[in-house]
Order: sequence, then C-alpha cells, then structure tokens
Amino acid sequence: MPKATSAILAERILGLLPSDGTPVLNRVMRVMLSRELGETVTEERYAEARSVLLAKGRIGRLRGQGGQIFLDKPGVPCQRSESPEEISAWSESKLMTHLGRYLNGPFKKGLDIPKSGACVVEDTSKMGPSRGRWARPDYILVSAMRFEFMPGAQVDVHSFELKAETGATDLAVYEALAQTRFTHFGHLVWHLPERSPAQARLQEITEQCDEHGIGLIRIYDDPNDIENYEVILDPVRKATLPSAVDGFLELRLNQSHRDQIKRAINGE
Amino acid sequence: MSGKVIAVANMKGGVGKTATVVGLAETLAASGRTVLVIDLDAQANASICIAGDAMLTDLIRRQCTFESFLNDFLHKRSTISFDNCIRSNVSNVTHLGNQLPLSLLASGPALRDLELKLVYVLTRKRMSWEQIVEALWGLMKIQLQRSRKSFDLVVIDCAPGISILTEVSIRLADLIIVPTIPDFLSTFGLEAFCINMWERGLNGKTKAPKHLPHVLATRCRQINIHRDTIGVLREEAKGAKAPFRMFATTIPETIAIADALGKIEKYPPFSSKWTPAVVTILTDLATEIQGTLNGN
Repeated sequence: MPKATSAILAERILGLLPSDGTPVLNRVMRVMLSRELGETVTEERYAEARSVLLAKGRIGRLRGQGGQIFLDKPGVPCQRSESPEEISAWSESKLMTHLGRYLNGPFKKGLDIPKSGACVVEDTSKMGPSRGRWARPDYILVSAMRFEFMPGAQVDVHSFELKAETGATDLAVYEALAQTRFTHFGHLVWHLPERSPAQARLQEITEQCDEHGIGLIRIYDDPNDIENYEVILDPVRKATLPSAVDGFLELRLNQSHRDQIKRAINGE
Repeated sequence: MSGKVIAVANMKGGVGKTATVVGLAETLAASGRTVLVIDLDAQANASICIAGDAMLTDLIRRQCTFESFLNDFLHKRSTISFDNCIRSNVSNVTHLGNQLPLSLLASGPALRDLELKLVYVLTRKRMSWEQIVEALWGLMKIQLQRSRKSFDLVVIDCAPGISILTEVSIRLADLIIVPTIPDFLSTFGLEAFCINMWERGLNGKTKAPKHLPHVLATRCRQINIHRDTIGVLREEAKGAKAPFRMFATTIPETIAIADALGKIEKYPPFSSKWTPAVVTILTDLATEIQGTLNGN
C-alpha cells in the first residue's frame, strides 16, 4: 500500500489537533498519525508535513523546546500561558520543581515500597560543602522498609543529577557517578527535547551511563507533563559503605524526613 | 522473518492472561521486535488494552476483527481477508520516541456466539470435535503462515476454559504459557490441563510441540501460601516426566500493572506506563521466553 503523502499527513495533523489551540507533543502527534493511518510515520515524513503547515501558517510551534504544535486559528486565543521564549529557556533551576513532582509521583510509585515503609524526596541542590566537588546531587530519594520475616531493614538512597538540554556531557555522567560515593543508586536526569540538536549525544551518554551503572532519565519536551519522563536506563546498586551513606543522610535530610525514615527502619 | 507463536492459556479466568499478553507484547516490541497480538477472547480485553476503546469500536464497525473473518469464512463469502483484519501501528505507547511496533488482530463480543454457532453447524454436518479443531487449525495455519512472516513474534490471548479456538491456538503455538496464581484453587487441575494440552498437540497431523507448557506464577504476593505453592510447582517442574516447566520469573501483584493496563487514552512512554520496577520483571520474562524459543 502506498504511504500517505505529505499533503495527506498535513491534513490528518489538522484533523487531530485540538480545535481550542491546545498544543500536542510531536512525539504524541506522530503516534496519533501512525495509529490513524495504520502505518509508521517516520520523523522525516512528519517533519516534512509539519513544515508544510507551518509555511501556510495553519499551525504554530513551540520553538526551543521544538516539541509541540498547535492549531493556529485567527481569533482563537492560544491556551499557553508562557511565551515561546520563556518556554525555550528551561534552565536547571526551572526544571527542578518539575523533577521533584516526577520523583514524588510516578518514580516513587514505581519503587513499590510497602505501606509500612517510607520513601522521601529531598531537594539537596543547595546543601553540602561549597567546595566539595560533585558532592551535591540535585535531589536524593531515600526509601526504607522492613522485611516480613527477615530481620533488619533495607535502606536505599538514590541521587539525581539534573541537566538541562545543553548540559549533559560525559562529565555529567561522572558527576552522577561521583555522587554514589554517598548513595546506592546514581541517576542522570536530562531534559532532552525531541528535536534538539543535543539528541546527537544521546547514544554516547547512554553508553557512558550503562558502562558506569548510572541510571538515565530523559525528559522529553514539556517537563510539566509527567508522561514526558522516560527511564532509559536503570541504575546498578553500588556497594557504598553504610558509614558513608549514614553520614551523608545525617547532613542532608530534614528532621521530618529523618523521623519518617527512622520510624520505617524501626518498624513503628 | 517467521514469527514464533506464543499462546497464553489457562482454564481458569482472572489469573492474569491478558496482563501477561499485553505486558509481554509491549516489552518485546520495546526491545525492537515486531509483534502481532491475536485476541481470541470474546471479552476483548487485550484488544482494548492495546488499541483503546475508540479504535476497537472502529475495528468492529469496519468488520476488521477475527470473528468477522471467521464468520465470512463460515459463510464462504471470502470477502474479508485475514491479513486485512490485522491492524498495524495500533499502540499508543512509545519507546525512545518511537511508537511500539505492535499489530493486533482484535476480537469482539460476538466471537463467543460465533464459536458456539460454528460447533453447532459443523456437528450437524456430523463432524466430531477433533475434526472441527483439525479444520479450524488447518485454516488458521494457512493464514498464519503468510502473516507471521511479517512478525518476529505472534502472541495469542486465549479465552479461559477449553474452547475450539484455545485448542487451535495450542496446536499452532511454539510455546504455551500458562499464567497461574500460586494458590490452591488456581493450581488445582493445572497438571491435568498441561497434560491435556500436550496430548492435544500430539493428535492428528500435528507434530509434538517442541516445548512443554511453561507455567508463569502471576499476581504473586509475599505470603506463605504463594511462596510454598511456587516451591511445590518448581519441584514438580524439575521432574523428568513433568507435564510442565516453570519460568524463573514471577509476576507480582502490584498496582502498577493494573494502572498500566488502564492507560488507554494517553500516549505514555513504555517505561512510564509500566514503571521501572515492572519493566525489569517483564524484561526478565521476555529474556527467558526468547531463551526457551531459541532452545537454550
């Protein structure tokens, strides 16, 4: 069966976009098109069809992020509150809140900690020795649980190093790795929009993370959307000395989180 | 490509057949394999979980389902082809930015009635149960021989109980997976079911299945009865004359799986849909299955 032409793809895109101007991620639109047509729509074919619509002024796009398109109808106000310039500037500090939401939501849920256990997330980006090199993860997540029959408790500490679009280099991987001096699992979190030129580094960064047992979480496009977080690699547990972990937690956890973890460890 | 066929079957309902089919199919697809899911359960749960409500409604309306094909064949109309009922690019899930390479041969609620009608019509023509199964198996084999070339794996979701379509699926399969909750009632009759399936495979013109049925412990909880039952099943599976083998991987009872199956209206990345913990388990299972199919 012949594949749909750019003109047909463009028409389908217009039909699929919400009429109120709500933007749709390129990743999602490509899946919607593939499902509708029953054929794989490659990034190249999609980009071609989108270019046709952009040239005609039928759709708008969120530049910088490069990830979303919306129906551009005269007289219909756009549903976005931020201007494209604002959205394109996803600095680490702007990404922090969204990452915190993801860690406290789906990531935590995925760990499947029993009700009797505890799991806390702490923003540690501004804590720690000012001269200490690579000793300040952006977030840490601490989980504690007791076993049903076995004595003792299991405590796992995850550290997260957040990088904006242009910030992820091999040094970022080593930074995440260095943080496992004090934690069991190191993660690199990278905001990498779909059409970003930085995508060219993805394979290298993935391989570096894999080699060092560092987890890699990619944030596609809009960090507001929880669906845009993808775990590309799971980290490998490091045999970090309990004394190093203990000292680290003592300095980083706030009192409430300390109490929660202690209660879970003591089975209270 | 000539896709290996995996049938997921059990007499008992509610043991996690559909969850196994959907989770396994998406995991295999995320690892780059092209996968076809054939839904032979009239409840159409696998079809809904993979294609979503709206697309399934459309497929039923346009008569692009297995029962439409079967009905057409029964009436000797030859207007609906098997291949045309296979819907490609059905998945709403992405992995590394791309849609999962998943296709679906959906079923609908009319399948159960059609199966009964089939038995009624053919027994009136003095065909025995075995002959009906044989005939349907022949039909499916010819259709699948053509279609499976486009896929690395074909996963069949069988309806609970023993039906003609389940028997046909078992005969077609390179590997039969029997999901089972590791408790007394769920495993009651498991051995008989496995022996029965194995013997059915030996009937007629078919060769003996290459692999014994493989039991997969599902919906496992950290309770004694589950741990003990898994232990007993593992011991049984080790025997030289064991009627089944057992996967090392077990599927836990977790809310993440129930949540994942309900994500039909969104477009989640694969690892977000299943959560990292479940993805690890499903990947282990997929690796074991590949190993079994490769004869390791």
